[in-house]
Amino acid sequence: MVSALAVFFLGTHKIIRELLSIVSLALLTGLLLMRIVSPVSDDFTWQYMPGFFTLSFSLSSFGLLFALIAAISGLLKSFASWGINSKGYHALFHLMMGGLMILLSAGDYISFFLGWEIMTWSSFMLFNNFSSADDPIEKSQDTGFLFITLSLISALLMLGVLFFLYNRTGSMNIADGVAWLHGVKGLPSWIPGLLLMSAFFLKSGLLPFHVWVPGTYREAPHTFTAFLSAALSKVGIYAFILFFLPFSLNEGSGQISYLIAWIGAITATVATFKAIEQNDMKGLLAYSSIGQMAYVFTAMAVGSSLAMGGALFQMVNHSLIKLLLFFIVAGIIERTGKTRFDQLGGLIYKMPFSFIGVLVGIIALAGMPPLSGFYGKWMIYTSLIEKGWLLVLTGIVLPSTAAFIYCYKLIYGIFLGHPTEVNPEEAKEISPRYRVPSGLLMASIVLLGLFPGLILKPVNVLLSDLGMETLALTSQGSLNAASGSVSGFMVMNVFGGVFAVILILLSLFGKKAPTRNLHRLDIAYAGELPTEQTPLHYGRGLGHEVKRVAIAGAIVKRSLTEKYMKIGNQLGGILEHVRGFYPGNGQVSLIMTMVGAAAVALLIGLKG
Amino acid sequence: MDNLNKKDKAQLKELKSPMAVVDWAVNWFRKQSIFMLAYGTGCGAIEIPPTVTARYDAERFGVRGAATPRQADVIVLSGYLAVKTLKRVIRTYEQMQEPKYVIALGSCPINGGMYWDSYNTIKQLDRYLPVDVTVAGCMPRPEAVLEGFMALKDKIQRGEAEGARDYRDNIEKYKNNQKEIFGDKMLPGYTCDWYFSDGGSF
Amino acid sequence: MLFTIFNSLLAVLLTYSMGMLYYGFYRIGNARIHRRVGPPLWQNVIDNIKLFAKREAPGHGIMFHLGPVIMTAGTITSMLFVPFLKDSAWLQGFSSYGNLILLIYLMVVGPLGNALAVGVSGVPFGVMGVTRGLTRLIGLEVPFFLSVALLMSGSGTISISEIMMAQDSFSNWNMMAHPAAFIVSLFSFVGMMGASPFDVVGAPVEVYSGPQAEFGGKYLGFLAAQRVMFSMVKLILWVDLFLGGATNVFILMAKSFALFFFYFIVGAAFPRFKTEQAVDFMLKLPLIIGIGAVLVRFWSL
Ligand code: SF4
Repeated sequence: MVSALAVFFLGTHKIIRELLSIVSLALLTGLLLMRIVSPVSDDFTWQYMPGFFTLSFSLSSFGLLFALIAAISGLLKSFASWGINSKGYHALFHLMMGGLMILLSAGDYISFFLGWEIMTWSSFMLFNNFSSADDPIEKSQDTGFLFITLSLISALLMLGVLFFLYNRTGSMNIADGVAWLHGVKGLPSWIPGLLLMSAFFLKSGLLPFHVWVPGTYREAPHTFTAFLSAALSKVGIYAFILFFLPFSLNEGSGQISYLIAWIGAITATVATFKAIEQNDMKGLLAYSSIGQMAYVFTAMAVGSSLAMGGALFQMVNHSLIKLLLFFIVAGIIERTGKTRFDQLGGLIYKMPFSFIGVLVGIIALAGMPPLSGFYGKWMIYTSLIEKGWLLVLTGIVLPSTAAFIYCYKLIYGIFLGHPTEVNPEEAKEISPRYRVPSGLLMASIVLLGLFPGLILKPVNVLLSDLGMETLALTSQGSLNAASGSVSGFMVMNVFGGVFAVILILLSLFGKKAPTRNLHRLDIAYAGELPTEQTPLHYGRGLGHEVKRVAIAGAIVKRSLTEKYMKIGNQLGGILEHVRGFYPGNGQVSLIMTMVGAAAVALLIGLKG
Repeated sequence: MDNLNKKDKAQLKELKSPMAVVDWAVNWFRKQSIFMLAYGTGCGAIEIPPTVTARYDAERFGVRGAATPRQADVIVLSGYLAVKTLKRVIRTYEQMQEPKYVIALGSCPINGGMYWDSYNTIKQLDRYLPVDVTVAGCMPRPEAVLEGFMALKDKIQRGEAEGARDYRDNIEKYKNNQKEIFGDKMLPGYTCDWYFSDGGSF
Repeated sequence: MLFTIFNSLLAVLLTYSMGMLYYGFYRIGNARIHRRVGPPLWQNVIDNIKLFAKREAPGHGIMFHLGPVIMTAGTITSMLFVPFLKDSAWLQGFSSYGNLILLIYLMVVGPLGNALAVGVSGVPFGVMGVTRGLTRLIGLEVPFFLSVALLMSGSGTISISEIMMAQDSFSNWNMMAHPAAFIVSLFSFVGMMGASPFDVVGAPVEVYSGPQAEFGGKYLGFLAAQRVMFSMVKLILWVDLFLGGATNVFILMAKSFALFFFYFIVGAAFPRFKTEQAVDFMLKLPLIIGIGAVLVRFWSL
């Protein structure tokens, strides 16, 4: 497959180019656009590379979808981060893109693993070396440590299982391994399956491997966080589909699917309550990403066509929403220099565009009609009901209801309430660099809300590739399931119509009873006279009451991160002795560890 | 609408033009629904609970409590007003939406009552706020309070309960009087600046 | 199309007058429990018209202005996605284009829109009210979803009209066929109607009437009007789902009044829960009954 290699080589080629000038971003844009078009034509072509193993690449329709998501995210991201990146950043970013493309089009273990590692390492370098946390003290060492450790674990798990599979099937081809996994019933296929699954969960940040996500998202360069959330978190899903989807459809694996569904539901619950607790914008969005990804896994576990469609819809939606929200947040941080809710507030009339952007984002994120977020959720809920997994449904209704709180916190903390540390007189709308991609994203979210059926065509192609039934498509504006249908077009129109009528009515009253625009501090405050110093903004505390709810409190109080860090520190103490063997440079030693681990895994795999 | 009593009907018959009928009807609705903000300033606060509860049941006249000044139609000041309290009262009154009324209970708001020589209370409320109805007594019993509400209703129906207009038109006078007692602790500008401009409405 | 629009207007009028009537009864009933005379039956209408007759209204910019509009639009939109009658072309709204899951989410749109206006008004009490409301919603939605999910998977459809159609005789009413689901949903019902013990959101003394703290005049008028309509939408939804629906307006009123009476009694009898107590309560007893019902259902299959 031409494009994968082309991208890879061009990616490396760009290393030189990007170092020379940032201007070449324009070229990159063109290239990415090209790539969006080209893979369609040369799907399923093969290319061989000389070497010990034969590397095969083929971009399946699923790979294409993910590649498209990544490419579009990358394109928008590059636009948004125009001119603010230091040297080396682009090189790494493109290296990562290359890795991602290799991964997505990999046909055999080696290229799969290679792509995985290139992607992981370059993204690590990206967020570590170009961190957005300006203050070096503020930047926590833990984040890097967690990311590296967990990535290593995931790589090890994967390597081990892949070699095991190679050993069993005698073929490097992924398809053979998958066939073997599904062919064998019982324990021997479960254990490698579960191990592999953990590796993928880790990448998507599912419980109990979510701990790397918040820190990483928080510290990554702002626009790169958008990309992380929109594209990289989807890799786990891709790998899951690649290896397991037929597996979860398999009759004998009901319990495992059920387990995965519950893992999704519990992850979503934990992540949502944690998100409510966050006091900074990126942290909140990071936890919300974990939660949203978890719905996708729950849906995939259900396994019906509707659920799969819902999962894909939800995934595409999530990419759009998170790009939008992270871009706007990046813009706000750039303008104000503030990241926390207790530092912001009251910016609505100064930043109307960002306000509308975040509003569209949170409506979709909360999964409310009439925007696109609802329809993905609708498909997932309906599929759960049709499947009869009512308890799982309850399990995901809890977090998606609690999600309203963090959605409200996000918009309130930034735009509503009272200004705190940012002088509203000086605040300006976010720069056009962010506005243009955000505008596009908003338009597509609204469009998908109006015509949710638009997404069904590509979804149907994917479903038939998977050998599943396709979904009924009566009109672009509506979605259908066996047990009912919903028309996004009608919902949007009815809501809009009613809204317009009431607005007109209100304006009629307005003639008789005009609204007096009051001073910001002129509020009903029990007869008291608030001053500029009165702490009226509720940005930090908002949602803290949730802690008093027993279940939420139990979740919020516990921190897996701390537990892991404890284990890590104790291990570190032991490893201190071993450390003498390695050269001083941390990265070198890590790479050495990896090579060593790979060797061990190879041995185990060959022996087994 | 069985509570259109005889007096109302007689009034209605006298009206000639349709606009007058509309005005009359609007006033009728206003008088039938009075959201009360009971500001327990002095001893009289204790008379409000019996007024609204089982014994005297103000709700049967459409009088009902409101939680915030934004929702209230009438502010009931029950007794003497310390300077400190007056500031809050003015603040609250200014936050209410027109048409709005003031009922003052007891002799203290009228002439200082038994606090006539206190260093710390105001003696004459209507120097600072436009009082629509005063109920004399020390302290007026709930019957008297209800009587006060009836008087207010009458005034509303006649279209004469326009204390709010008076306040707006003579804002300078009122503000000067307020300034006399508050001195440099006067209410900040944002609370009342819009009285002096047209307030920027839409 | 004209017919639908006419029907929509009719639905708005019907719910408004029904709601005003019921809430008039509510106030009189409460007064009688206190051994008072109470206001006239139409006091709520008078209050509402008075609010619209106010000469001015407080404002905090355009978002504050739009809040009550979104709230009312949300209410009316949800109303239009509920079929009022069964076996009738009348008062169906747009319900054939939607379903129960859509409706549940539509019902949240309005309050969240209004929450934006509350936020922009800058009253911290209002925001506290909003957070309380959202927190309480966690407790209400979970058992409610469980009970309607039982219904939906029981009747094999997610469309409200079809669920309503399936209940052709008294023994087929869902409150008979799925008693556990009905009982669970009643807890959420009382909560969603905002009666005590779940009325902590707008506590007048604590948080200054919560979300409504800064609204006055016409805005409060709109909010009051939509509140009664919204309550009626919920009543009608419960009639549709559990009480076998109604073939004409009078049966609809009789059935919904029965439910309203239940709500009135509960509201009059119980004191108020704190927010977290409400959620904890909802996640205990109702949820356990619900889970029990699910388990029974799927084991007996
Ligand atoms: S009038 Fe009498 S009862 Fe009322 S405040 Fe004055 S002293 Fe107290």
